Amino acid sequence: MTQGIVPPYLLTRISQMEAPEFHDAAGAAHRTLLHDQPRRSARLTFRLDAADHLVAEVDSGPNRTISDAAHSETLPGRTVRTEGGSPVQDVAVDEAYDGLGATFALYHEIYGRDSIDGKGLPLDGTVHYGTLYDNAFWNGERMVFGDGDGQIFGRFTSSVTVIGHELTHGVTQYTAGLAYRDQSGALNESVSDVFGSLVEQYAKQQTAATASWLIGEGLFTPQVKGVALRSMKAPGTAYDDPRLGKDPQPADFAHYVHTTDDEGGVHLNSGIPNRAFYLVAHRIGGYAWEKAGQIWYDTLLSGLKPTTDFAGFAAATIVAAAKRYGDSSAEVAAVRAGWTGVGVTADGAASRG
Amino acid sequence: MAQPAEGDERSFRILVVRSGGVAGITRRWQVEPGDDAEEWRELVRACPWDAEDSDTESRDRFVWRIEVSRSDGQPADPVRSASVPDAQLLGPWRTLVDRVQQCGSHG
Ligand SMILES: [Zn+2]
Repeated sequence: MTQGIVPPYLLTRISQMEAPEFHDAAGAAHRTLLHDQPRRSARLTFRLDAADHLVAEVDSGPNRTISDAAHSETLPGRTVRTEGGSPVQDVAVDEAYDGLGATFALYHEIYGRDSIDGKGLPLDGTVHYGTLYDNAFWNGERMVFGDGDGQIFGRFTSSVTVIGHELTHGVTQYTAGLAYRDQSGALNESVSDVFGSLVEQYAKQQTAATASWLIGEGLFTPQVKGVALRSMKAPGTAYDDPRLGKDPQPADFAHYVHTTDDEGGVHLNSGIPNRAFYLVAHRIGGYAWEKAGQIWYDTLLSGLKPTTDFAGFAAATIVAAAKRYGDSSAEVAAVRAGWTGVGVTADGAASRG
Repeated sequence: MAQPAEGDERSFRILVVRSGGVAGITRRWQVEPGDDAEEWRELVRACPWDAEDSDTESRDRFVWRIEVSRSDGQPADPVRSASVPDAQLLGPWRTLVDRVQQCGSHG
């Protein structure tokens, strides 16, 4: 099987092919062409069918644009790499491009989602934002990556989990719309960590048992005593450094952090649902994106209220698991055990479902 | 060394807390002005303390908490406390925060 990026003129040709063996490909090409402007590329697959006919299939592909802020805080910056373009001599640009591609691949190939909005939204990223800027963020429209200060943080594109995390903020914005404060904010953060980790696991083909479950592994410089920003498997253990202190994430609901900073500790309390997801995936076993990830993805699309709290989200994951795998399935049991494992009691009414 | 402070009297301190960010690591900087207190007062007065800033679109951006208090820990008079989204940390806010980060002690 050969995969490639199809330029628009070829899409037009394919969409006009009339031979019956090209019917599917022509239809897909036509749909891709109708989709939006400016022209995006698509994925072309060739295979031989049972009768040895060559079948060409066209499918959606990502539409990436990477820009360079050149250390200013002005967005978007200068365009430096667009979809299908060759690698450039700038590791941050290429990491952002590849990371957005890996994230698109997980959502598209596993969950059938066409980009952030499900309708092929272009994936825009800016690198080299600000001076010694210690952060990466989603501004509602694009992903933005700083280079780090060089003493504590290196560049924020260096871990695909962070790229998947930022893009997932876009997915959440277009689906559950979880409000970014307190428990719903911690869930918003956790969903970004869950799919950020799954992007890496899918790209590396790791099972729940072999994955690191770390977010932002390798972002710290070697001077920092720590392996990553967060550990989903063991929240609170990612770093312990004289300058940064100890990783403050709680691993269970009894240690929920009450604070007014960070929108009510959304980056701290995400440790609780993060570990619940890890426990579910570990108990189910195999590739975490297949079942645990599917349950969480179904939950995002299940019509959650923006202010959903941990108990409500837990209940929704149980309902989602029951819908897909059956009420008395091992998957439902795993989901229940995951939440129990972090001290969260699923909302009664919904979870009986 | 008694300094005529903003509203009333004595020495004061300026605290900057940066929370949020994808790393979720909270950092603090603090200054306790001495001879240069009047310069710092100017920087403090220039900031729009009563503006209500919010940024509901962004995720993982820093949030800055900036507080002026008396050196004995009591609130300043008038009360000077604001939460400023990273996207709005511009002009006088940026000047003040940059100065505190340069001159202040890490906490
Ligand atoms: Zn986030």
